[in-house]
Amino acid sequence: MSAAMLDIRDVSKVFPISRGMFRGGAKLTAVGGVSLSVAPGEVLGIVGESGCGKTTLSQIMLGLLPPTTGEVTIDGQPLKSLGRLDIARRVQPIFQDPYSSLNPRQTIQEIVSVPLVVHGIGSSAERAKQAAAMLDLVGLPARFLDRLPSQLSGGQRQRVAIARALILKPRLLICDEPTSALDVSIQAQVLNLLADLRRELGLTFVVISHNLSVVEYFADRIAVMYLGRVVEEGPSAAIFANPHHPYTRALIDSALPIDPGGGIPELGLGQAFPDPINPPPGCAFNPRCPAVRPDCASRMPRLDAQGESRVACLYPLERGAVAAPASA
Amino acid sequence: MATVLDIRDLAVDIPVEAGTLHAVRGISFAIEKGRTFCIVGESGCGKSMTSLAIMDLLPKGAVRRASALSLNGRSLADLDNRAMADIRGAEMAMIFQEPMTSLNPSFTIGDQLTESLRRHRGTSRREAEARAVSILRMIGITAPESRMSQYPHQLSGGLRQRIMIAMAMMCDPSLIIADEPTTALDVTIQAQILRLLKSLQSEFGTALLLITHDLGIVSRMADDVAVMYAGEIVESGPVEQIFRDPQHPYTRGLIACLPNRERRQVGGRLASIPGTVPSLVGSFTGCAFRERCELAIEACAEPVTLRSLVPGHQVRCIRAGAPIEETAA
Repeated sequence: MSAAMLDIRDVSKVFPISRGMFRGGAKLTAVGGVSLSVAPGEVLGIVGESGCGKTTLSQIMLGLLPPTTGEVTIDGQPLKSLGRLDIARRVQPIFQDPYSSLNPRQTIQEIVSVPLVVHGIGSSAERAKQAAAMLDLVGLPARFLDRLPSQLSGGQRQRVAIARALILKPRLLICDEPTSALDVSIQAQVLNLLADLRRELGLTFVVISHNLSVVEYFADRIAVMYLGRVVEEGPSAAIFANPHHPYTRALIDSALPIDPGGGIPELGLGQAFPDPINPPPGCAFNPRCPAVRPDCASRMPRLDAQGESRVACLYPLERGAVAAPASA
Repeated sequence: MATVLDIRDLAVDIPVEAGTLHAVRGISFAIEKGRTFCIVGESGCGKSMTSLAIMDLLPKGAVRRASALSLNGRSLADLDNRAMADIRGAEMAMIFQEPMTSLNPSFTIGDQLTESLRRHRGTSRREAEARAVSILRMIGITAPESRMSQYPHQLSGGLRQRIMIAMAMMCDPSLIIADEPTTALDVTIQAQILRLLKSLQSEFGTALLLITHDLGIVSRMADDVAVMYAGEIVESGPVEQIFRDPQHPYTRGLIACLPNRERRQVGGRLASIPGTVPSLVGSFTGCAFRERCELAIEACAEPVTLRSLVPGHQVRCIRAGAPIEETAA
């Protein structure tokens, strides 16, 4: 396990919530006891819906938020023992929205070489040369160096964001919804670029997305999160072929690939979306679970090995089928 | 079957700094009672401007032209603001992408649900509230009576979008226009909302104009499909036909570049469409896709009309129908 590029051990993040003067504080557990490991050169996909803690987890991995408990190590180094610049040399983010993540008043050359300036690397001539090399790497012509972000399309901007992330030669990229703001034809261009970079540079990726088909296309392993916890984790192919957690099953069914006349599947999920401040007792998914049984509301499932995966469910699905619910 | 919406040669021009942006460039389609018509395309293709043009809700300065624009046989083209306001929310209703910004934060759900019925039909508050509660119950909202006194910020995104749908249904409209109704929602909620739209439609025989960028949703919701590119319909026809035998290189490209399991292989690449959409500011002739098209020839710079290959299936491409090599992997 010491060979892992990224190792997350029992990481939790609890935010104090103010509920006004008279009600006292509350605690929101955004991430609860997550352990994940990513091997060098591997792509880990993290999927889940809004509020599942995936973005909080990405900020912890980037060293932008300290975890309340637990430890993150990158390439064998605990994150908390590293300074900000040391972290930035090892891990870089790519964000969702290339419209708000680039400074509109800076030229592309300035944007891409900012990390070199911050780290005091090279003369200005050398930095310009490196910025040009990075643009070439992400498939943009050198004439873009003098342009402003407003003169670029969304896909071109995301390439600029990728060039900026790569200029310090990090070994790990954390991509939070990297293509969600892009049109599908452009999404394919960016996914191809990320796949090329992975192959050419041996990069390790964590890709966070709500879009299962993007994750399925790109990730070797997948972790499914629900209300701050990993509910299923395993090899991408195994998860998609044979999901064991009813929530994973529902996510896969709701992906809606092209199927003329196929209709919209009934997921059997209730609308009772849980309150993260007062999570339901037992399994957090139990109020929405189509396969819920009585003790799901009292016993908290652990993340246990199931086939090639790990699953947090008291009654994991066999062969991806929803088990008949216990008669009420 | 009764035609609910009939549009011919709709164009929308928007004045911008550099000249005139031709956002919609002459599109025609019709929707029958109880049918779902999907417009699919990427950002800037004119699909949202089309829906706003139908509702007469275009941004200030935008100019709408059409040789026909009628709802249930009545022309909307020359109606003044007051007459259009009588139709909006009553005969046709719209569901927008972002339920938080389309609900008024300072009024209760009950106020907003009953407004259209009271305004358009003069229904009493009590009757309107009774209908609102029954619609909320029908679309699967628990404890509908207590929802009526809640404010939008007290509801989740999925619930808000259900409220938007309930609001659209209040006056039993013959047409619902839904512009990216589930794009802001989580995927499991998206499936629930789409099922809800389908079931309401089959119950009330409402015509649905669904505007989306998502081909998967189109394939599962639509009876008929129009693919828009750069302000024009480039291909249209019955959903089975469009997906089984797409003819326009753009439609083919869109379908091919979706990531999925079959396309995943070590070192495998997704098909992608090179380049970007042309600027629609100023005059433009010829096929708008030709700069990105592998099949483009010189003649593609000449104006291209929609033509039928088989009845009901139309395509705006002079190369369609010719034997086409598989697009590059």
